[in-house]
Amino acid sequence: MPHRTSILIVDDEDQVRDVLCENLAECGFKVDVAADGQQALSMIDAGTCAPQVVITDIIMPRKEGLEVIMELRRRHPAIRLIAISGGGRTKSADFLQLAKKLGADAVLPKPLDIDQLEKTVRSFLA
Amino acid sequence: MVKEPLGGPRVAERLQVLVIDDDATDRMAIRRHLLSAALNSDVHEADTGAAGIALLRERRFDCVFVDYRLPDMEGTSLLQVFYDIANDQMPAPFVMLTGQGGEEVMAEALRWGAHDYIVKDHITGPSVLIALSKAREIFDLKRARHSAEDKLRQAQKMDAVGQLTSGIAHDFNNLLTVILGNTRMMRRRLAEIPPAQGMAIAPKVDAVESAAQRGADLVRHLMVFSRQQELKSATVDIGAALAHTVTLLERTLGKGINLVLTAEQGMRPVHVDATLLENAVINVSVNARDAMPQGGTLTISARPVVFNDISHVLISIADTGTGMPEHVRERIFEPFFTTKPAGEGTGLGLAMVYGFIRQTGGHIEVDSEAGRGTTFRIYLPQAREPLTNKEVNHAT
Ligand SMILES: Nc1ncnc2c1ncn2[C@@H]1O[C@H](COP(=O)(O)OP(=O)(O)O)[C@@H](O)[C@H]1O
Ligand SMILES: [Mg+2]
Repeated sequence: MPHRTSILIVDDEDQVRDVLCENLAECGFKVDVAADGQQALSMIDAGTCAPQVVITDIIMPRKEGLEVIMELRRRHPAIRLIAISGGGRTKSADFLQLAKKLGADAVLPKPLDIDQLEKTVRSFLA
Repeated sequence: MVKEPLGGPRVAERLQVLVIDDDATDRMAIRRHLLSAALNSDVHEADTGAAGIALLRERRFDCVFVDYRLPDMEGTSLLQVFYDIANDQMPAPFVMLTGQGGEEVMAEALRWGAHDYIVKDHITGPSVLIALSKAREIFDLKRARHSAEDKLRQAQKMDAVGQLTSGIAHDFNNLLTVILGNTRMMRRRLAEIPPAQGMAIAPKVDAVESAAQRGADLVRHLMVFSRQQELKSATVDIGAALAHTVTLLERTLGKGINLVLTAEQGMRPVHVDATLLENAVINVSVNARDAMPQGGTLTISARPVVFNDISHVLISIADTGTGMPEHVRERIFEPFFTTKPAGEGTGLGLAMVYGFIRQTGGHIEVDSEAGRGTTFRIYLPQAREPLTNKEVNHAT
């Protein structure tokens, strides 16, 4: 069986999670989902999911995307990170700019261009 | 613009004073005092309220003296004709001439917007000059306060839009992700079935997708407008951009509108967010269509001009619609200002256009008259970078 790239999608909106999951699975990736940052980190720590790429929303209940990015950077530096967000900002900076500063490999605004998302994931594997 | 020197009337401009009084002696007294004070003034006279009102409608005055009792009306009734209660504003400084012991009349006059009063038996040189300068000073203060309040109101509205936008933008972008993600899946499924079967469905998917895309642009426009997102500027060929917008407009505006585009060839490009510019032109054009319910002509044109000493591209959008009275024209760029029924107008279209054009470093102005149609002019600065050597050679 050929090795399939594994992706973990972290978003608190079920419909967003579902549609991303379906589209990326269709692109040939192995896809897991988590509903918030806390769940995502426990899945990775427990080894129930070993993603090469994590795609995370920013504003989520329990653990926020920005925290997920910081912790994954520290604990699993090999995982590639894509931050996605539908907008929002602190006084001085855009959330996506912040995500980039904190170590996200790529940031994409919502509404997501899924072709772009696929291209970004593939660029990590090349 | 030439700056007015501080204090006193401009040398070249004479003070325009109007005296509305049926008593020729009083009129003479005021005229004499103004002239003997060596004030550079023209004194106009009216002996009835009606004549005074006619003059006031016709031209601007720097000060108006009104008798409290005129043959055809009370002085306060004349004030009421011009007094804007909501804004506590008069069209000019007003001084009421009252009779002896007329405290009630004075109070009444001040309530109806007069700025000062003189008792008729005391029309002396100093009393006339003091009343004149006091009335003018109060008038200026009220006007300044009014414009400060206007600005505050505008800022508060912008804040409201900002809060509203960031509140809904996030949820909206999630919904649009779901819609666009699902149309993408539908497209893939379509590719798997015989084209003959898919033919009926594919255009529907296109329609959903382009509507969702427009929704996304609208959210972005609102975000830029409320300063929560930066512009995505690029070097844009305005002629080509307008040609594209016009193809969209042909579908949007419907049959009754005759659409004309004239863009000059070979203009230097403009640094602008192309999607938002398109949105702006569509917003202005849709308003134009709404102003032409019986149909008409919409002319969009672009040409290079020099504006404020800088080369700009001027985009003008002219309609042959209803036009606007002044009290509407003054407020069209205000957020939430609309004359359309609830559910049809949001009053945000032109506010967004205005915010975007200003953020781009451009200008927007409007010419409109009730019954005459409307022309919007958008000035966009041409590429800011200093001219390259090659261009300098061309220019010389
Ligand atoms: N071309 C036009 N002709 C006449 N009136 C106009 C025109 N464009 C704008 N207006 C006036 O300006 C108002 C504000 O426009 P806009 O900000 O786009 O909000 P809306 O279209 O939702 O009312 C309109 O309600 C209308 O009264
Ligand atoms: Mg509108």
